[in-house]
Amino acid sequence: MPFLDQLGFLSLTPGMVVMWGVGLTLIYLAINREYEPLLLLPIGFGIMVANLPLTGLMAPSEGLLWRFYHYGVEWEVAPPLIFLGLGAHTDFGPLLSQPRLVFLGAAAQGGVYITFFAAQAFGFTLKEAASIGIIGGADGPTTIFLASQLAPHLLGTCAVAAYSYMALVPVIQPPIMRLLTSEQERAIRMRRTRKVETREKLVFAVVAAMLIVLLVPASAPLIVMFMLGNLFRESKVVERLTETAQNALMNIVIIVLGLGVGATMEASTFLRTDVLFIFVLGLFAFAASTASGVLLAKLMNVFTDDKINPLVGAAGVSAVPMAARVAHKVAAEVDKKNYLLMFAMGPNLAGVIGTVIAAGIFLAMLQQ
Amino acid sequence: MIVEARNLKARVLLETSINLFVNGALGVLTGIALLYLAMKVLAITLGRDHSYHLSSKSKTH
Repeated sequence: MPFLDQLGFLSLTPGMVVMWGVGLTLIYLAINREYEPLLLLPIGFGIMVANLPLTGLMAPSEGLLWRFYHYGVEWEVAPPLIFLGLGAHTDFGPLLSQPRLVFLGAAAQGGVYITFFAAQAFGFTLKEAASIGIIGGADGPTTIFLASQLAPHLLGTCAVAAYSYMALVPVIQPPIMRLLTSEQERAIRMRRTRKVETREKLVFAVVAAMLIVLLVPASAPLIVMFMLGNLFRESKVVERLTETAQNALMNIVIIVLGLGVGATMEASTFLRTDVLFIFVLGLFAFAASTASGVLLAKLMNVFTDDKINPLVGAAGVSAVPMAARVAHKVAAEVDKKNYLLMFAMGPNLAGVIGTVIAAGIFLAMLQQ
Repeated sequence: MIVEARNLKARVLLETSINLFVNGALGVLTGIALLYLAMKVLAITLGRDHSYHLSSKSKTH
């Protein structure tokens, strides 16, 4: 009977049911724990519906979710548009007032490269290792951007790992920060920052975009949109565009991106042993990035009288602004009046740029 | 022959990895250093201290 042939129930596989569990777990974490709900909720739902039989949602050229994935992710549209929104939300003032903190954003990329080597030791190819290493940058859109081009079969796993660990910043980072710093170091109060003029911010957005793109052209899609969003914000003459980039556009793109990424996680591609390795390596990348940021801050203190609280080094991972908040919170455990948030925002933003540069270099060297 | 080919493949892979690491680290450091310089120049030329300096100068002259 034709009707029975079309029954989804008869085409169910155990793998699909397991993937529902994975999807439900993400939905639970998003709703009950508020772990990166904006992304994990649509990703979780995307996983569930992509693992329903006979829907054709991921059928090439026809399926709805395939179109979201193809035009949003494969065409490199969604991550740059998210960067446009991020740029429109970003205030470079804290970074411009303390330029030396920008180096902490570079140090925090240490975890990316350590994990890149570790992933190869586990048998991953160069392209796969780069996609896994970039999780250490703690930047969801950049991870998606890189993985979609170098290792599309790992895209869903890398994206979920990146967003899961970003959500777990308050759990993962503090023990590493406490382990690597003394109470005396955590109590360091940094000198007050100067007020940054709007014209400095405006010129910086343009100059930074030009410099980075000239250095790493492959990073252009992300960095150009990031700085354009920031230019919208700082110019204060295109309020409508700023508001759209910050809210409506970003929200639409998040829906498309979340569903598209989640839909790539079908049972056949996700239920493999190497996925477990990716989660372990992603966690390692994140921890190593945190540690390298803190250690560079400590090293910088050896050469300067104007001390840096090493906790701000941990904010060099890009998870904005969560990593900066965590640095502030850990410092406040020792000295409640130590207001570290604004200082930590500097390395936090530098980390976003550092991760984009690292991704651009991977892309330029491996996408041949 | 097979062992030699495997060794060669492993060596090429290692060289590529190291090449990627060196280029990546250099690229990130150069990019960040360029941004640092740009910020320093902006602070000197467009920062508040600069405008204060100019305005106070014009008063004395």
